[in-house]
Amino acid sequence: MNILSFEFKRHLKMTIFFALFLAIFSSGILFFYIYIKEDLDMMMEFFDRFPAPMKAMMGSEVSIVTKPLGLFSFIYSFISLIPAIQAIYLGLSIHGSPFSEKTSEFIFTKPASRARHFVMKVFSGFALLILETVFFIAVLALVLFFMGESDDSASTLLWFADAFLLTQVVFFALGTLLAYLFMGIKSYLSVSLGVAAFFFAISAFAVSGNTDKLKFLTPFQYHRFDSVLLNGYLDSDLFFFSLLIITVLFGISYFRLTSADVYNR
Amino acid sequence: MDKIIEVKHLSKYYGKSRGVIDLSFSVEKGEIFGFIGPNGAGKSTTIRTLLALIRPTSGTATIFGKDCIEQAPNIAEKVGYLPGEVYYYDKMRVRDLLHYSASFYGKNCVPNIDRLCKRLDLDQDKRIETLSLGNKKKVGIVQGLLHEPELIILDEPTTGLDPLMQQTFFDILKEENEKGATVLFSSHILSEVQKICSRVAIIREGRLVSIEDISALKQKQVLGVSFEYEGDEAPDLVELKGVSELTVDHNLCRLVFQGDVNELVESLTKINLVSLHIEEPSLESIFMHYYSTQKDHV
Repeated sequence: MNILSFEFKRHLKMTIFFALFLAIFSSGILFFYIYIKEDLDMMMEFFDRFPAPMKAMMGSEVSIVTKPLGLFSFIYSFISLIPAIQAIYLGLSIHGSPFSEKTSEFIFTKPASRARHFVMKVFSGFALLILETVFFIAVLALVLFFMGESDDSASTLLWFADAFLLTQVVFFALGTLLAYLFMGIKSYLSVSLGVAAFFFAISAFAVSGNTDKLKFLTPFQYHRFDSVLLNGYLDSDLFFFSLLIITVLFGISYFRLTSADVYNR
Repeated sequence: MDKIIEVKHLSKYYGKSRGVIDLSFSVEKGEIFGFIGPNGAGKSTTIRTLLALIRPTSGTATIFGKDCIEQAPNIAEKVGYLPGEVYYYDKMRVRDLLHYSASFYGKNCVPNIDRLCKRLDLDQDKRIETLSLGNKKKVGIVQGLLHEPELIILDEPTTGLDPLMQQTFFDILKEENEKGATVLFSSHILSEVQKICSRVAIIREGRLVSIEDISALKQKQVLGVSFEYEGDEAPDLVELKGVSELTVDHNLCRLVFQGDVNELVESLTKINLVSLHIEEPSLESIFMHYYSTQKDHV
């Protein structure tokens, strides 16, 4: 429990800061909707003139922007890189700090197994991501309520929360794996940025390509808000696939930690 | 006597690089056991294996009769460790770090933390990042001792501590030892091992050279002696047992001495000295001398 609360407190400020950023940004999009809803028809005509590949890259259905959460989903798909960076960073920071800060000889000589260290750190990451999700979705709900657009959005927001949390956990697990595969990474931000940008680029190919299989290669495509909005639920294949990916990433990380030499290098 | 630490044929390779080779020794309950060797000899590798930070390539190590790797968390409850290089969470305050460290032991360590901090003159309100190396070392000492461990493992513990604080630290160690704690004290400084330890294992290039009682080691102590004398006749010290590498240049005499230091002093009193320097040679030269002596015996 001490490891969990220690890591939770250590990363709480960063998580709150990011959740605030996300909430403010999302609120901004929703308020933006109020100002442009009169001109949405003109905007649709504008989008219709875009070349087909470009429209494909923008997402499944541009028509969803006529609703506030639709506009939000549409714009969010372009900034989804940022939460991904944050989740990878969180994984790297929670699991990589004993190696990058050289505290492994302090922490791993305490009476707690490496398995316990690992599990508690994963739980602290989960707790932070859940907190972030709850805050983010709560702010969205609140803004929609004040806009008078909350009538049929409750279930959508719950699916949004699931989609957001699951995607963040996949990226968190990815950060965790990187922390144990390359013990001693110091520049968390540049690594997170690079990895997230790589998967974001694959995502661009996935949405513009002819095959659905590419979607399995990038966590950005597992649980998109616009898909949730159009289908009303999470894609079950991608849902189970993302759970599998999370399990595999954590599994390899666990094996690596419990079998590696962990002294200060 | 109970064996607190028992190392049997321990070898560790980092890929093709040598860590330690076929190391075997044991530490008895209640003793302060020195572990001495030059940098890169394998002292830290041995200690890290005992603490399950690294896994041995072959051989076994047990602490309190338990396997160091398999039962590491159980063993760690009764072990205090001070690493050679101290790194902690820079943004934390000393108090928070020590309390976090204490939280692993399931007992109230606050009185002991306060007592040790007071003794070492360590300000608990300071952030780790603002501390000097010496003060970080003090944090290391407190976090290693706060739970009153039965076994204290110290890897180059005095680095960064000033002489006064070193003495305080040795006093604390002796007190812990009197209370029943066993100590494994790793160092590359022979004099500090001699000061506090009862037995010492000498390690070089990953292999155990010898295990000696400190009293026996003192008999084998190698000293570098140089003195300036008055008069035209060079002093005759060749006959003195334990003198080697004797050189005389004008009125400056240099020699290496191994043996009873009282005999050396007695011989020197017969010389009209202008100046005298007796110093502990580097560990490497002690080893060279020790080896050459061993080879001579063979």
